[in-house]
Amino acid sequence: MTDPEHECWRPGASMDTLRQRARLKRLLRESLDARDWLEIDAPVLIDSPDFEPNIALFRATLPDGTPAGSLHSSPELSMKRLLCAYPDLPGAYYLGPVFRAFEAGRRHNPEFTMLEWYDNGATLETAIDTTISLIQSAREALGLPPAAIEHHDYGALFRRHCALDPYHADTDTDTLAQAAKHHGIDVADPADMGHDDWLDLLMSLVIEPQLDTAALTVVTGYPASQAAMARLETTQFEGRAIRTAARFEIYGGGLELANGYHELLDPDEQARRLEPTGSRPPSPSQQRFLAALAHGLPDCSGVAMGVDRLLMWLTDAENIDAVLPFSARRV
Amino acid sequence: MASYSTNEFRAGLKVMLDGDPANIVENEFVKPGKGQAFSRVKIKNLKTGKTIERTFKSGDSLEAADIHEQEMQYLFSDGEEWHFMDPESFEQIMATKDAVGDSAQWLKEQDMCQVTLFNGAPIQVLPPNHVELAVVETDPGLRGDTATGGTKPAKLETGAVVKVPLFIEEGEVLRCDTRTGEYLSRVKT
Repeated sequence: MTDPEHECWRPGASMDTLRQRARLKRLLRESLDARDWLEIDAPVLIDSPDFEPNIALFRATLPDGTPAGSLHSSPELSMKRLLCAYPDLPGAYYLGPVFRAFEAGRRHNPEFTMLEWYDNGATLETAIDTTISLIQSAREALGLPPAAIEHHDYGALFRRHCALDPYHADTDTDTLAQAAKHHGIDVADPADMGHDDWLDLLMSLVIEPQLDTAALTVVTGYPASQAAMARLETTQFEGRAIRTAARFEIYGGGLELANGYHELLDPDEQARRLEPTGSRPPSPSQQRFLAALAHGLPDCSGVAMGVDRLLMWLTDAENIDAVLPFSARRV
Repeated sequence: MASYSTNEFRAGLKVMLDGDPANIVENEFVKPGKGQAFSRVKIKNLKTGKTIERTFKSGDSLEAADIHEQEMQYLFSDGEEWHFMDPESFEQIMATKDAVGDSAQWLKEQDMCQVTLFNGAPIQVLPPNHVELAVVETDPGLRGDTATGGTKPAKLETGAVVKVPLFIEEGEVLRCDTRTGEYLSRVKT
């Protein structure tokens, strides 16, 4: 990434890394095809499903300036509609590009390669096992020994590293702001920070750097407010019942590699989450998605894995530029 | 004045921070996949020279600072004010003790300096990387001793004190690096 402009015509990845990249993609396809899952070419250009509050979309326009949709940030809605229509499929996956505006940095490129799969009938535990086994077989294919696995509870991580209970009603934004300050994090505009913003900040800047650099770390127990499209469940934390999301994240040495959900099936609950403000009518593709859920989504778990991130971890790359042929600054 | 959003933050950008002009040293983008994005910024206050770290929520913005850097000729000083001249327009400006700071000990009349102007007023002055200055005060030289590698302090005409080899004598002109404060060589006069 430090290459001067006149060197930017060159690829960021070495030829060895490009070979490993091709091999990794081949391995992922072979592993999922062996389960009799179907690779799906989800459309990349879709109408604008603004359901992720923290993800900005690239907008498409026609030559005359008319809005023509967006580039997808995930194939989730298409993939679920497909599973609603063909509930006998054992599983389906997408391996291809997704786009997220403004996400550029050492670990982010606005266009990246996503492996996203839906495992029909799978529980969250099965989804975690499948993800770990895919990553371990990728390590083996690249000549690396299996990684140690660590399991952590979201609440326990916050208790240990931030000395607070992230689920408790008394843990307000002031408490979270204090914890950030205690760790030397100086936030420019604290008044603009919501509860989940603080949790994300502490997770990224305080907890992630503490995760074992050699291990695969599975985190579960995300608060209900961070469920996105996962179903909710009742679990225990420090002797009391709490509501959490049926969601996991897997980190490779502090680098976020994948996240998965035991998918929400209830169309009414889903409609509420799509429109938290209720101000905008659902877009046509959202309406089709809700119609598909009303028809019925089979009980399933879904996982999204960043293929470039996985390759970064496998090759010890400091910068995502080193695992891409041409990252955004070289395009 | 224009402003910059976090996604425009990059090293070298001049912005206003807490009422002072500042230079972005480093910007790290941090974001959990499903979560809020942040910019973790290392930023140097151009008035105090202090570098701090601050975290911005993505989409926040900072006002641009009217900063520009200019080559100017150092004219003279009375110990309170330092005077510089734009060699093209011949316009003269005055810098305060705060703006000149430690650079004062290297400033020799007629030398070209890099002056950082904020809203047209100097806030920082950098001497040339290499200067040639006469020794005004040092212990007597040990003639011929070029091998022992010992050093002694020598005071230069502009006030700086540098470590020099033992053979250096008063009146000699030395080439020094102002960034490290080190003696480089003797200059034949």
